[in-house]
Amino acid sequence: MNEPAKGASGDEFALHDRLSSGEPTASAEAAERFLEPLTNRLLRSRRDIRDPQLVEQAVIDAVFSYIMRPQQYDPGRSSLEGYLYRSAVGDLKNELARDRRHSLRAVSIDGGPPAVELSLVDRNTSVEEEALDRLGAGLPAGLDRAAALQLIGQELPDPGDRRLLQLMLDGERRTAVYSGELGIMTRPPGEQRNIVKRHKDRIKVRLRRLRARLQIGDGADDGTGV
Amino acid sequence: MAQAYREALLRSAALRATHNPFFLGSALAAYQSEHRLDDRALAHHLFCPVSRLSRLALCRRPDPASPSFRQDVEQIAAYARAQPLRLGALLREVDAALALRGARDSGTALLAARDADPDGADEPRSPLSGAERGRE
Repeated sequence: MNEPAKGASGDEFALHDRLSSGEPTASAEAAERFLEPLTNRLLRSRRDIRDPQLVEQAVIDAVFSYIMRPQQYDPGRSSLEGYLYRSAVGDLKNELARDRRHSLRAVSIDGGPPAVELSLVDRNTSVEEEALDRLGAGLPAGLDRAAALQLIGQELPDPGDRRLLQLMLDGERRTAVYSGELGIMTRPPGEQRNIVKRHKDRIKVRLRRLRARLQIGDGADDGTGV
Repeated sequence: MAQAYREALLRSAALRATHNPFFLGSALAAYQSEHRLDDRALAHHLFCPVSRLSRLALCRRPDPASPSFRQDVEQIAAYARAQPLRLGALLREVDAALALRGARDSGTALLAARDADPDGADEPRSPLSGAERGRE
């Protein structure tokens, strides 16, 4: 994926013009054209990031931002692909910085070094922390917050489960959203509801088991709101 | 392989688009929710291949009140290989439902504000407020 030395290529100019003039299919064509090459390029350059979804979301953010505000791009200054790539890199850095602040805050709450080293580039930390906060504030003596986060990670090791848990913690109730996450959108609605319910129940069972391991009382809200 | 990954990314973006009113995906999601349709049923309704739904969702959502609405719908339908009349009707229905809900919500909010204001309790009611109360 070589970037032209300067300015947009002819087809980039054309696409940008069509998007700027409000042509209704230009946004889909921009997504079709740029999502995959930009994601691949960013994944190749950031092999340290373990969650490819983080990269994919940063690229989608960058492309959506451009689609909704095409005037922010100057076709005379750089190629559109280069511009979107830099934008995605910026979004990714912001997301990583947000996670880093989140992790460091957890350390400072404990007032000392964590028993388990927290990953600074692991986006899943946020859902673990949120789950822990919802499970109950009080931890048993001898168990610090970092160790509790580690337990949550052990109970929900699958990134897909963590994403479902994040939706539950966000209060999401629409089956379609869970179906999209599970990749079952083409199944009949009744089947989708059953599958989604099974996954939610399974995660809730794990949270209950986790609550028992953390010795948090049964009266505590599991925070999933479902 | 690359094609499959491209399609997966488009689906992921289309899912994000359901939460963003800029995109046609927000209207499709509202229609699916209202009529309890899965993707296959929606595609069938629009005479469109299921594989084109992501692209359809990522188009700009046309405004039914705009003079270019018909032309926009025809252009989108050609791109997504959908039936333009069905697509136009879907967009009009979703837009009408949204407008109705907005009117109902603002009416409810007005009533709630008036009920919460003791100073306004003895003020004469406007014909509008009476009509709105009748809907409750």
